[in-house]
Amino acid sequence: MAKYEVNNRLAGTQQNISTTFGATSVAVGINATTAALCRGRLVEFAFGADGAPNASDTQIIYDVSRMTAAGTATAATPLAQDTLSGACQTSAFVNYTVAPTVTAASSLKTFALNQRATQRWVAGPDDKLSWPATAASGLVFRALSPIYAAPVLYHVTFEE
Amino acid sequence: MRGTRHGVLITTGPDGTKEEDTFACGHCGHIVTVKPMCDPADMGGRCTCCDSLICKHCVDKGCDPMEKKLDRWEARARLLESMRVA
Repeated sequence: MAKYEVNNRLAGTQQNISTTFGATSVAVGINATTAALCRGRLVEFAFGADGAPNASDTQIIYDVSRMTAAGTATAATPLAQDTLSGACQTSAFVNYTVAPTVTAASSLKTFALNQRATQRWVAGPDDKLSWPATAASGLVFRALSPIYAAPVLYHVTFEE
Repeated sequence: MRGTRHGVLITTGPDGTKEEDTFACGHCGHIVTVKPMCDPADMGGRCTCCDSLICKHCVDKGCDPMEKKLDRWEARARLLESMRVA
């Protein structure tokens, strides 16, 4: 299996998060695409604030959920971890301005973190998170905060 | 959890770095953080059918492994596509 990396500094303009999981809350989305349907598996992701901390100490809520329909975002080309891997079949989009359709109650994990903290999750060999080989199905990585109103950075590693 | 092939969650913040074990539910994929010395029942359990660790939301709901869910979602998409409803 080939591994690929994508983050929301690869393309487009980073969007400020808001107080809800609204239009600009999604930093990265990875999904199967009609032209080359294949399953993917999430291997690792890291996230944190990508702007100056707010003067008032506050939290940022990070969330990973399943998506079923595309939104509006900038396409990014996932980077292969090694040069032997072919082009990535999975689509990656970053810096959404219209959020994709997120399956209700499909959150795989929600993290509440101090705005000055970062977090990294690495899957074990037996528990990588899969998404189906159906068009526009995949995972979204999003964030909200009651006070912090600048971008966040998600770095995602997946395999297909 | 020690010695098993599960995930890890690393938090770096103003108070230093903290590392926690995690596992992904074998039925729904939810990531569960394992608190040190916690009661296993608080995290979920182990499915006696597919022998995977599962989250507390999937306990007592029967065995429905992720692989079977993926097969089902893909079959549904193919059916909708063939009916041109998708």
